[in-house]
Amino acid sequence: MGLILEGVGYTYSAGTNFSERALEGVTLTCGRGDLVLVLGATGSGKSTLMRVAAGLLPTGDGSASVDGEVLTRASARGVVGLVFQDAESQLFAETVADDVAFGPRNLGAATSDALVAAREALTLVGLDPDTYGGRSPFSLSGGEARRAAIAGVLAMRPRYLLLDEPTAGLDSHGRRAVREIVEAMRESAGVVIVSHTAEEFLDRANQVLVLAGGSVAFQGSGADIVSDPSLLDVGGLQPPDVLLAQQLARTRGYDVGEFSLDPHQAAENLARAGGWL
Amino acid sequence: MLRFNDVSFSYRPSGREVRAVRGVSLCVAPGELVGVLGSNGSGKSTLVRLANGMLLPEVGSVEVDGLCTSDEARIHSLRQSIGVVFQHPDDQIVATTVEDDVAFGPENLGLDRAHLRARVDESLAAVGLVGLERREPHLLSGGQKQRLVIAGAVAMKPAYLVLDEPTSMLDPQGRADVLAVIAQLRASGRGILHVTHDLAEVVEADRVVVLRGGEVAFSGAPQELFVRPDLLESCGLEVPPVVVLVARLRALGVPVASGISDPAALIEALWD
Amino acid sequence: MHRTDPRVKLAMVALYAVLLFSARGWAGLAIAASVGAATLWVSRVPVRLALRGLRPVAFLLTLTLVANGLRWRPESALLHLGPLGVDGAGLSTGAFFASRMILLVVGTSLLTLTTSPVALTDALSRLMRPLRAVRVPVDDVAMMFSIALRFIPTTAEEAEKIIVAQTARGAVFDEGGLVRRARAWVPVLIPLFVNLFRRADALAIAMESRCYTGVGRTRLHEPSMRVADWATLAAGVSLTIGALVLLP
Repeated sequence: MGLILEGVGYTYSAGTNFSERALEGVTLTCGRGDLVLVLGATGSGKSTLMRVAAGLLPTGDGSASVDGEVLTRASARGVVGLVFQDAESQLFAETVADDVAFGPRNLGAATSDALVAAREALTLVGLDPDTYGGRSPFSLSGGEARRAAIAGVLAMRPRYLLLDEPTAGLDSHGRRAVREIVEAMRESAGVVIVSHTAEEFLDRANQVLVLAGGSVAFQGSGADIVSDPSLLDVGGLQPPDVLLAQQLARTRGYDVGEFSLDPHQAAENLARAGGWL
Repeated sequence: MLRFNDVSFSYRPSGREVRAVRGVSLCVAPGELVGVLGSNGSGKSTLVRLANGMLLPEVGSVEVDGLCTSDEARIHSLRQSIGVVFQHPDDQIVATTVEDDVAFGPENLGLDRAHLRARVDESLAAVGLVGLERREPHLLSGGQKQRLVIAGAVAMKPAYLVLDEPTSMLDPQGRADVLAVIAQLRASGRGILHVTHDLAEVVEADRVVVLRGGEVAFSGAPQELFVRPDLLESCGLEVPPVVVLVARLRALGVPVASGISDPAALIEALWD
Repeated sequence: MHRTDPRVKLAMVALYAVLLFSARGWAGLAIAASVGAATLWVSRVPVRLALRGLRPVAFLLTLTLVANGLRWRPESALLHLGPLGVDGAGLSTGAFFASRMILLVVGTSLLTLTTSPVALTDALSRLMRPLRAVRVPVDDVAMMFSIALRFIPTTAEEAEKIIVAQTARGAVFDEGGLVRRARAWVPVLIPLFVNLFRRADALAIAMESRCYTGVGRTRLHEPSMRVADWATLAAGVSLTIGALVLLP
């Protein structure tokens, strides 16, 4: 069981002069409760990976399955939910409730059931259905719109949730809201997050993949990256500042001990290394 | 001097009144970098639109080197002195090639071809886009697009530049490139107003102004802000992690200056 | 050919069209055809590429031939096909019209294949400048076209993104009858249009911030006529006049 990709590759415009190998031999397993963090710079293939994992693109090479069935657009429908970057651009309906109910309705739910699912999803993302349900989606602020768009995907009750840069462009309040949604979703689903910064979800991810040039340059746990932030170099990624500080200290020969993402703990590490503690 | 004098402005969508900015005073001198911080809804975007007369304040006034934004006859001169860069680069790029877009502003001023060429070349050099003159905008990366927009503003040779969250839509590389350009522009003597919700971006500023609910909640050196986490919290802003780390170090008795937010600078401060 | 001033190219296409439509016999078409062929050769555009423009009008060409060439229950005909008959004279007329259409399409294809859309809109706007005297807002219209061109690829990208996003929410675009399919596009068109309007607002603000007033603009690129351009124009005009005067 789970969303499983094995040795997946993908080429855009295969067979033409413009063909572009975007993915090569990517293996990823996401089960319920997992938080898989896929890190990569622009052009590393992470957006392609999302689309393949959502069944929107066929797997060129390798295989992909969801809960035992071969992954296709049909089998992914309603089972794998994908929240795109700047997801709020998909909002279109007259009311927020209608927009969030769009997904369930497409899956064949009766309008009343779809609206119930919409209410639940709105509550889950922290938008009170009674306050927001009747409003026009275009009247929402950036952060609210982003959450409404996420609700639109959650309303389909996917077993696997894929999020592409979910916190891009949000302020600290918005980012915190998204983090909470992700944690809540882990209870009933598996979550894959794709990002170009490690800061946000590294501490909560039980699996981390670093993509570079379409292939997996590193695969391990969040803890692996924390202990050795240089693993991110291969992806052209910058480690979180707190880790970078500890790493710089270690490079100078100071014994910092086990790295920590928590600034307080990191401070103690540095203090001890410098002999002040 | 770019001056906001006790400025207030409200939006009135269908009869309601939404106070966006209230009693804000602020100035930017040439060569100064002033950061404006605030969460969404704090009024910072409204401030940007008030800066060059896109919006006129209901109370108070906005002046650019002595010219008032409400002076309709002189608004063109005013807008030559103050360039504004908004958040979404695609909403500001007008022409079909990079150089044509940079030339757009100077073309509006009726400059002759030799001067147009000179301005375009200088501006592209200032933002690091030399060599991309004939490129079509949709083929540029996010960071390149934003630098193109900055070049377009710089081509007017403004004394002041206002940037509204220029990096919020960019990836780390794009953000680094844009911040580098901003630093360079400040070094070349322009007065810069950098509006953002990320404190880390304005740690090098001469001054930082924090807006909350349309009012000024703080005005002073960025370092002073680092030691006020409660204030930041109430304004919807986050303290940069390294600043938290430094605070803890100091609490542990480690001799290090407060207000360092860059990891490399911190390590140097500790062990150099 | 590619470097000829676009205004001259536009003028030449106009003259070519005049030539084509004033030809009343095959001789006239033949002259136009040879001009077209000569231009094609000079431009070094592959023939296949130039002929590709005919694909969309293939149906129309066939229709022209059929409509002119077939008669309902004629007395005499080259060939009888049930109640319809193939009429020799009609077929010839149809062929004439069809050939003219082919020559026109190939000629204009050559124009678009050798001139960028930007250059074309620039040329059009400069040719329209005299209309300013009669208060036509030529510069604003030209700016509009230029901006529209600039946003075509960007809007296409956005449309693709929205289509994929709605597909991921279970929307289906290729099933059902006409009405159902039309309705399926609503969740794509609405966000697209809302975004376009929002963008138009933002763009207007950005343009005003950069002192756009619509008048008094100079241009970074403004190709001026060279000797070769004038020569081409002169040749084209004299050829057309000659053909109009001399041919029946």
